[in-house]
Amino acid sequence: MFIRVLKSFQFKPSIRVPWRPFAVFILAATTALGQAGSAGDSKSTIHFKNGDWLRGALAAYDPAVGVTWRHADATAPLHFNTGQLTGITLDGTAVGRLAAGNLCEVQLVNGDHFRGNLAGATAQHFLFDTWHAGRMQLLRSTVRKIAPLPKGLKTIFQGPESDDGWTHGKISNETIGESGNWRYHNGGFHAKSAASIARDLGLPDSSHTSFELEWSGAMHLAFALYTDTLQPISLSTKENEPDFGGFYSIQVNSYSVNLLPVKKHTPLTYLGQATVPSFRNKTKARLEFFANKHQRLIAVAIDGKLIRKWFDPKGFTGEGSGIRIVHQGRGAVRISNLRVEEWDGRFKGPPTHPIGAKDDLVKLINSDRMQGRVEGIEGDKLNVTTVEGGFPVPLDRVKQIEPATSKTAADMPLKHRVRAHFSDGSRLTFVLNRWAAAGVEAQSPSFGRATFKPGSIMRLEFQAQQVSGNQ
Amino acid sequence: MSGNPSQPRRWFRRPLWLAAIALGLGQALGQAAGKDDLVRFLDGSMLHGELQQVSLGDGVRWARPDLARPVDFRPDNLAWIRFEGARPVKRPSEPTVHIRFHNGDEVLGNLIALDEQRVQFSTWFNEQLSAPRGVLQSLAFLSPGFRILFEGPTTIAGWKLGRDPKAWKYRDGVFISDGVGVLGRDFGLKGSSRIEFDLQWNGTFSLIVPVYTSALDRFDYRSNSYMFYISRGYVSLQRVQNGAGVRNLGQGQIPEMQSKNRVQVEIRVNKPKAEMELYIDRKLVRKWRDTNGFAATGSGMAFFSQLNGPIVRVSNLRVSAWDGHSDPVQLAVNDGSEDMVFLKNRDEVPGKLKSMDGRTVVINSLGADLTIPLERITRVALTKPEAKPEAKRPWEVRAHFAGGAAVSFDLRQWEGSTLTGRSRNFGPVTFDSQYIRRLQFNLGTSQKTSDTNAGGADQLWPWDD
Repeated sequence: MFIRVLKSFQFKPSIRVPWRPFAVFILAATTALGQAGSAGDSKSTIHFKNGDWLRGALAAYDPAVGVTWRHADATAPLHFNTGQLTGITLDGTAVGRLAAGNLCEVQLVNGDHFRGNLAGATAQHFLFDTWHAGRMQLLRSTVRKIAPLPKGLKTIFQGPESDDGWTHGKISNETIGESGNWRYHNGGFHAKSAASIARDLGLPDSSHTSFELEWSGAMHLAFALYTDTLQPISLSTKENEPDFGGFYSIQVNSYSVNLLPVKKHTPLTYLGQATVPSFRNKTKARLEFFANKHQRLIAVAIDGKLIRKWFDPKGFTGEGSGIRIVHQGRGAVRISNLRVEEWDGRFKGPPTHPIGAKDDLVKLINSDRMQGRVEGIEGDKLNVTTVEGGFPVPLDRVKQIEPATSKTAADMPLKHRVRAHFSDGSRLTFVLNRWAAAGVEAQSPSFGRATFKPGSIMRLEFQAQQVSGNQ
Repeated sequence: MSGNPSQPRRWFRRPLWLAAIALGLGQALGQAAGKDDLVRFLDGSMLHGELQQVSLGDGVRWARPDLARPVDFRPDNLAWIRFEGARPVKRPSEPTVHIRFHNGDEVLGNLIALDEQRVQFSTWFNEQLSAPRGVLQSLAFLSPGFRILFEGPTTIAGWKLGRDPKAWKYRDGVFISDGVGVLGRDFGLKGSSRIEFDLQWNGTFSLIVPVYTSALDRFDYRSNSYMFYISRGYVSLQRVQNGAGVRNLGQGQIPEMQSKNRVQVEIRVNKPKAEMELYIDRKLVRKWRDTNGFAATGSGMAFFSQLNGPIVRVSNLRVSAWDGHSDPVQLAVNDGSEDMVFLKNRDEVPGKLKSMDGRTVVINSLGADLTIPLERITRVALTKPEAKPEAKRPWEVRAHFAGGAAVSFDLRQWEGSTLTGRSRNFGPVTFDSQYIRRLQFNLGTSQKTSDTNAGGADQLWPWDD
């Protein structure tokens, strides 16, 4: 057992060493670094391998010094080397907008993904315009899939950026325990006790709703689609509830997804359950709901894979245009990167072209396939060369491009690997060269060098383990 | 901090080179030592490392190996610092009274005298202390033979682990289990005893607590013991007797546990009467009596986590000898307008407490002075005077010592291992830092911040509630 003796000591009354000059110095210093100023700035969090964590603000990073961190109560910035870091959660981020173009969803061989406008192709690269890093050149062999998004389809909602416009509901069902509220934090809604939040988003007749779901412990959520009621409906006593129009309740728990049409004066009958065994080994997933009134269709995809389509034999039950998210009182959850769009009725598919293939595969929406090489883009046409010759293919006829790839093309040493999660749900892995107010300088075998907007990154993982992108 | 400009003058004359050497030495030693103290902030955030310096000017200087330079934190948002490896306090004599103050301070010591103006007592850190009577909340007289048998944990050394040695681990004053396994220790339990601990969990857990057992590293139905089965919302007691099997003695319900994930548990065992009581958050849940007489023959206790997955945390464990009848849980907080003397025969005498010494209490009750021998008394509660609003002092800290004592004071100086300051209750105080297990800051608000390491920042619930 040791004897605690402070190794150095001094006694100075504060009257002689006031805080204010320090504060002025810190403010000046950090303003120079460019991250000071915003109210949410000090709500970022740095996490360490031993479970330690500290609030504050990321002021700078460079490989020599490590992370420069500001803490509201520290008299000078803290300089952490990255050996013990696991990640940094950044507050005050926002989603940027992208000019109209050939918007595509892009997936890389290492599992990274983002949205960008396909601007062209060269012998070695695909070119994308992105909102977070401008023009990016991606090495062709690192790109797993490029899926053009239909033009003219409106994005109804993207966020959340606050809980403004949302209605917090009061849950009165005793069986699901203590009622609470969803809380907004850093681009997501959080709940750990029973809670309801709803909004009339004006869901169109054909809609695609997608979001990231994270959970700990048990998970049990209910998503009401096409509801006209912003307050939760107790299913067991629905006949006693104030009048409400029909809606679909998509019930998601730790092992399954179930669909229940809910209408007053109509018995409750589930349309069928889809088991999701993969949930048991996960704590996060991307969920997608597809709905089409004319087809009486509801469908659910998890992590890009369609798990179930339901056709309602009694017609489309949804009578409203709102969405309600109800946490049933078990476990903590976060919902982020919620996007609601018009849907063209088409389901995307996972890539099937083998990794290591020497040629590109272009899948068309009529299920035709073209095998050859994507030479470039002219306007909104894709130039594809096959053994039969060159063909200009309108992008709106292309379901997805699966380029020739190499499994190791995007590999980086673990020690230097940083995985960035962007506020729009994108994810990119790179070597972080510098974090400064002017930009986040990074490089990877996939995109070479790029400079990202600091406000676009929501989370950084240090020494991030490789994750397969074949999903 | 309103420092006293006249007092510290001599420090400014200290040669700068000496300070520079001390600072340099401190950094070098600090990093080599690899200390594992823990600083926690009011927002719940925390950093392991080493406290290098406390200076009223510069703040709290904290070092850790991955920090390029130690950092100075202002005290404004500190909750507490936990010191790993604090030594148990050395007492010149066994304490006879537990003294509590209205501001939350508490000490174990010996009463010298109390009159209408002041209370005088001795403690391990000062042989004669005096405080205004108005700051005194209660005096609880400890049972004869009162002894703290264990107070911790501060390490896993001295504990026996079951077949899976990874099932329990020690961290920052907490035993943590996320798997099936046993952790036990022989406390030399002989007579009646009290076992207190904080229990924290996530998910659906199941914890067996065998007491008066000799099976410390296993679950053994051949040992003679009593086993408390604690789960979320229920507790049951089994008597286990070699050759006679197991007998359920009954179940108690703890509905409060359904909406919590942390409770304070107390088990009281009255060995002569073969009675066992379980309290949750100081409320009696259930009392059991073994009509066959006390059957357990061991002298230790164990924690047996039964499920894989849920995390169970045990902290603030205190095992003490007990006389079997005094009621130390009753804090004797007095909201009434009169002082109160509680007698061993459960009578209560309201009135105006006039004086106490080492032998008697004099209380004016219903117009007459009553003199009561001290040995007939369990505790005394005093009325609370009207509180005056007091300015917040950034360097007012509370030192928590091994054994449960907690003393707040305005920190004036921390030199080497010696802290000096001024207590609102009893004036100047001096402590040796080696006995301090936890130093609490911002006393009004830091109580809400868990005093143990409750885990990392929850990405899914980044708030303190």
